[in-house]
Amino acid sequence: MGEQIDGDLVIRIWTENVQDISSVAARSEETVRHAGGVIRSTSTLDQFLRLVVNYQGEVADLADALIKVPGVAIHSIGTTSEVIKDIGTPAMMDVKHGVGEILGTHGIGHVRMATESRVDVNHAHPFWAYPFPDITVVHNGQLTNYHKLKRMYEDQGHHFQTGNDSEIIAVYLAGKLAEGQGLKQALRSSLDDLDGTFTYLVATKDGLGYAKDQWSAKPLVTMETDDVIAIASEEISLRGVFAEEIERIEPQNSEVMTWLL
Amino acid sequence: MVTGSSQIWAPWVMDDIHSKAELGRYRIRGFSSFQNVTHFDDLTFLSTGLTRFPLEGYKERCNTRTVIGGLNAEQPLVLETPIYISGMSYGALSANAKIALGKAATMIGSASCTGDGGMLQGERDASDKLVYQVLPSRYGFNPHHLAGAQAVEIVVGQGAKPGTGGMLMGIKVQGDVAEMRDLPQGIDQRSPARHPDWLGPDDLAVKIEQIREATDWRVPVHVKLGACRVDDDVKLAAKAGADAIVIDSMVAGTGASAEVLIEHSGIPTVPAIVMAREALRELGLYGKVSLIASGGIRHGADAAKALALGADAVAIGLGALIALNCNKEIPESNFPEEIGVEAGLCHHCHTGKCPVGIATQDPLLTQRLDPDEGAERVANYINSMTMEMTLLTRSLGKSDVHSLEPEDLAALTLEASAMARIPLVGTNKVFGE
Amino acid sequence: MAAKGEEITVLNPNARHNLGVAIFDMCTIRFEGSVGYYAASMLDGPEVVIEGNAGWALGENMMAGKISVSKNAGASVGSTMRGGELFVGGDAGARAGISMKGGSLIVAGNSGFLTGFMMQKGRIIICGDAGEALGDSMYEGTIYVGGSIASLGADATIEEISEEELLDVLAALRDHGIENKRSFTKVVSAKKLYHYDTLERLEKSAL
Repeated sequence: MGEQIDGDLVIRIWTENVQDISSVAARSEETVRHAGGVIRSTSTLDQFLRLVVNYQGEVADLADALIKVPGVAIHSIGTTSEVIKDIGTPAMMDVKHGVGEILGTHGIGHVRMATESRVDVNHAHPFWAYPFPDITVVHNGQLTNYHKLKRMYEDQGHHFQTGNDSEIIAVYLAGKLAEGQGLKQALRSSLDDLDGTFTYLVATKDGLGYAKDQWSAKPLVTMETDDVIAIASEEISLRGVFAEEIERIEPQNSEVMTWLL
Repeated sequence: MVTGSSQIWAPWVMDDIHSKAELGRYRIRGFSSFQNVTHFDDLTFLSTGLTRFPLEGYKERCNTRTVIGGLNAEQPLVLETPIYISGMSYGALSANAKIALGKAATMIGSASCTGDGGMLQGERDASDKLVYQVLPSRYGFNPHHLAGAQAVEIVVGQGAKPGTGGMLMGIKVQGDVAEMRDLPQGIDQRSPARHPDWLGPDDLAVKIEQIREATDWRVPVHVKLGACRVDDDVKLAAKAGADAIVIDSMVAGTGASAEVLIEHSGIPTVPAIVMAREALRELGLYGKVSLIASGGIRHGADAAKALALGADAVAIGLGALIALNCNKEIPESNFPEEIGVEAGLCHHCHTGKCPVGIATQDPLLTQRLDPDEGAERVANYINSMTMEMTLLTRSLGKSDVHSLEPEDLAALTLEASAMARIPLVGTNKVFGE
Repeated sequence: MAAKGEEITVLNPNARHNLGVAIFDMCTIRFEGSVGYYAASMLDGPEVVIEGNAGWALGENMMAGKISVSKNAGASVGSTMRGGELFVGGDAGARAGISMKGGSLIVAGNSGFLTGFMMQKGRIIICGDAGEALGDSMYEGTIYVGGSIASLGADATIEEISEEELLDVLAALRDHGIENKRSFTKVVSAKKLYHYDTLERLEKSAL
């Protein structure tokens, strides 16, 4: 999550076949222009397309138009945020995508061991809550009422890009936020509405939050100083960032927490 | 007056409802599913004709030696036959039965496996190659026993009752069985469904590493799954680091389970093996991670077909018990009087009243099973199975049971064709693709 | 790895997993820093001291010996332990002492959800508060709680603590320098879930 420039959106698109990227880029740009957007910058890398666009309309309309372009998978549309996901190691992510150089206030990340859906870049986390800008989720666990919830949302007109249960958490939260619920309240509602095991992190324009399921089945540890809050599944991941001994807290079951800027 | 009987509201269904009207809870029994599902009988071998050279029985060798878990283990499990004896608990079975099975395994150069009650010293003494199970209950779990095992099997679930834990009725939770399990005498034991210290596939990876540490990285670590979402489960077990995966089907045996679980969860053996094989192939691990099939392996043809479909080995449970005398009217027994049914129709393992001394802790009954005589019967049975396997294998022109492949089979029914992904006899078509 | 009778110090354990698994020889091991999952699991005899946090399943299935962790322990601390003593200086996570089959688990701080779940034998002492579903489905064994109990689990019940028992608990705590806790609530199994209420004809004992 970084600086917001008025009316600008960062759009990250991915396509399955690297040979198609130029034509996908061209058609995506055309679609943006047709929708009334002005393209500020465009860049491609392998199968990835990054557009910075000035657009005054509804993000949902733009997203719906873009998703119709053959070969387009939208990883994120955000006013201050973008989702970068690929296959490889964190070190590779830094080298290829320059993740280490990105400046921002907060961010979330994930390394995936696929439990039920396909193993490909699209099904990797974080999941953007299409079509709501700046809401992304990473999830550890397995939702067991996923199919039922997905059908309910689809019947309401929502669009899912993958068969991954984690994507629905993003859509669920976005739905609650759109109804006017605060982030913490939305997280709390999820404890009742989502069945199965989960620890998930959500990043919005304004902050970060986590929710832990009723059985405390999935790990989470947090470390907090005056300047920074760090959250991870296992302490060993935090030790790479915090060499000093800081209080490491393991949240309880059915717990939600938020940190707002 | 119209006569006939309903298939849905059959007499046995009515009897079931009458019983539950008194009982007020789910019913429990042992044995195996009564469902008539597609099984190996619906597949047939395509033996040699003019296209291939059949091998003679005696002089021409047919290899049966099987290596399990060679991927990471310094000392993989080497068996002289692809058939070994599945884990069944001391508690569900009598000590004499466990010892007999251990002895039999040693006699045939194969392995036996502990069970949901810990390791009986008698079994350890009798069995040269012992697979040590790590179950959700951890009854009788001892790290020293673990360290001395020839393989370790982490049990996620079993085919007869996937998604749940073990069960032993109070009549069998007596004496040293109760002591080994650290349970009060006579309690109706219901084991946990989940492992206490790991809860998902990502944790399982750490658990497998712990087991390797505890066994100095010497022996194979197996993961046993009840066959349900086979594709997902096998991939996860493999990714978590299993050296071998045991896939246990819905027709596998049990000493005591809720009836609804036995009948209404899990999938048959044939599709389970095929899905497991394909899952490993997709990961590039087929042939590296060993695949072991269990559930309904009754004779050498079943075992051979399991291998042809893609398994590296098979485990037998009920079959071994039947060789021990399960459902046989022996001189000392009287099935109708003692257990209420004719021999051949008994599936009351959970009652602890086994008339042949296998599934009981009653000393008057267990003495009817002599471990040495029992061992010989089981060894004979497994030898017969191995001979049946090699007979079929040679008739296919192959000198090694591990050369058996899916193309050696044809399906006799549409369902078998779809489940095994093998053409229907008389056609070139695989139904269901 | 370790030789009998030695004292070993491990520097920078860095919260790694599977440190000190299945050590049977008598010795003393000190970890200077946090450890990950399964630290000192399957221990049979030695003394292990951890200066930091522990991840999940600290002391899992320990048979005998002593483990102490200065700060917090993650979920499933002392899972299926059978003997010896495990001391947590900070808080314990969910499922502390799950399926315990003996030994003593002492937590100076609070303990999480499902503490003592399916406990069979042994003793758990929580000086602080216990989370929800305390002692759910326990068979035997005893849990002592110094603070509040969020809720009792299935078949768990509060029983009167005797003078003698209280003195035992206080003595155990004194060994760890804890002297400010004086009163404890005792939780045991109500033993109502031991048996199926009804049995079929054949399931009934001949007795």
